[in-house]
Amino acid sequence: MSALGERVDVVPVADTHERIHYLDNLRALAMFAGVLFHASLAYSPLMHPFWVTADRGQWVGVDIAVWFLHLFRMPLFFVIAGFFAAWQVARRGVGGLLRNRTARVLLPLIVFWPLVSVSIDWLTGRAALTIEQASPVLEFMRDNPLLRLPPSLAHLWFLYYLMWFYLLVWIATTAEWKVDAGRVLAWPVLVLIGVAPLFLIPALFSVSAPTPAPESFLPQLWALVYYGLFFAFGYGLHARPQWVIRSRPFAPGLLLASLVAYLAFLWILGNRSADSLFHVGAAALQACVSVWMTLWCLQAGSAWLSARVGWLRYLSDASYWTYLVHLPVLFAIQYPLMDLELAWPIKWAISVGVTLVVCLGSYHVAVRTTLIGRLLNGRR
Amino acid sequence: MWSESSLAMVKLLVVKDWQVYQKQLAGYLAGLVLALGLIGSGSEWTFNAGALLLLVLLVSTGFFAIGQIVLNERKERTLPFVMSLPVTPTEFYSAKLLAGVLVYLVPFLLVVLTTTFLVLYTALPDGLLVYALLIYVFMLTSHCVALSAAMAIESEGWNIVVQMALMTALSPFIIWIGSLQPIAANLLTDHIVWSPIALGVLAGELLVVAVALGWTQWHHARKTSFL
Repeated sequence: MSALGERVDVVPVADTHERIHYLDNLRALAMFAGVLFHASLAYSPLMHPFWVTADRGQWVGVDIAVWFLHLFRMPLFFVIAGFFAAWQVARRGVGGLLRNRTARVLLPLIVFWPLVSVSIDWLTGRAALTIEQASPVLEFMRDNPLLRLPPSLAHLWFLYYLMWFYLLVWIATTAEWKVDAGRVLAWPVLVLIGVAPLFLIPALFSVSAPTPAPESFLPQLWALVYYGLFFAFGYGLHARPQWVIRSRPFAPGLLLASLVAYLAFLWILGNRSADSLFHVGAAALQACVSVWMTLWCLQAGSAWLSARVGWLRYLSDASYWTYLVHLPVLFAIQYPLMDLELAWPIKWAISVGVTLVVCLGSYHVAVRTTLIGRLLNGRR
Repeated sequence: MWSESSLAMVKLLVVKDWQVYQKQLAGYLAGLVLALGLIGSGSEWTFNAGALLLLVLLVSTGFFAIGQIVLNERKERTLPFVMSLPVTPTEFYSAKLLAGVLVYLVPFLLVVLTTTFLVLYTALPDGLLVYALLIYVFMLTSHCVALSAAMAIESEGWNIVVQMALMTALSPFIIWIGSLQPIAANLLTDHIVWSPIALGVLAGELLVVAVALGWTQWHHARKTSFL
């Protein structure tokens, strides 16, 4: 394994036939980070008024860790998705990309959204009636039994936005817009690192901090711009994959700068005001952490995860299924835990552990070698 | 009845028009994404701007399609070239009519389906659906009338007059149906009510579509020569 910042003379090129393993591995880890993220929200003081499984046990440290992760986990997904979209276009053309993504992204979204939605609604409705130590959201539902919220995409919003971005790839190609996202990567690394966050500030300024999940079926402009820029960066990265290695010497600095920016963001968050300067500051700091940590993850991944590791490959294969089903599974575990007299770290460990066992177990038994596995991952 | 070779020729001509139109469709879809993004942004002004952009896009894409498929070809004197091809006037004009309708139906159905989906599956009041569909069908009607006029009238100036008149009629139509009590009463509720008056307006619109397209096809089907 090479260390971050180490000089690498032979750089990998994104050839149209070879997969780049570190991106697969990063995607797998980011998917599993999603399980940790959603499990932790139950113990977050910041999310307590809004999250259905909010527990009595809370710790401010959860917020500190969770929102840091939140700022770059989804951007990283979109960078990777953009990269593989460009890879598909290089192999099969835009038509091939659309056909492939319709089968791998749109179809699973159409199949799994009703299942996820109905199971979450059923679990939550039942919890509202039976849980004694109910969260504020469950109490609100109990007090307003006739209230019907509009359907939401839940955590599957990621797939929904991916489809919009694939459509935009088709639009840009068909309309012959000469958008060479890769050209941006020809800029000096330090300039790109400094300038890139500026493009995200308007989008982040228009929403609350930390950024909410764009779960509505109405596409949100801020999310299209914010995540779209990460997708475009990933798309451009396919033409210049060596950029990640070229930028590695900046990795320690990026990590340090991200931590400092995040601490400043936390301070701003703790001293909320209606002042627009507060919003600009929060947006700018989130933009910095998003960009810098996403780049750092790519650099770290290219240094430490570039080999084809068996267990990571397995997790990578299982990650899509885990992503799709983990939220209802997690809720099914966390609702009964709410009434138990246990310390929150134990509840957290149980919910994460059991969710992963159920997701990975069901993947191994009912998905990997079946039609569902073919639907999600194609022919293995 | 049409022969197999006639149908193949019409299909070929329609595909040709569709391919020429694709670039414009791409631009239209980009506008559609922007419009939906604006509608979803949450504030009143962005919602109105997004909804207006949807309507403007639908109007302009229709007129662009007519311009591209019928008027431009006339201006560029494509007809002498077409006359040298093994294609009859009936095949040619039927293909133009079909292409003019089909290329509009793609963005039209996209907008209609997207709107229906969003009205039903977001916080927007479901009662909005009847109102929105009547407006959209009015725009389809306008397109069919403009297409019919473009195929019948050679003068570019008169075609512009027809298109401007149809465009101008949209705003009074929106205000008029918004003022009809059975439609207005359910606009901000979650009840989708197809009242007799709403069904009457819809039937009227579809009748105009049928007459415009039917007359154009009948008129051109009688032609034995291009000139």
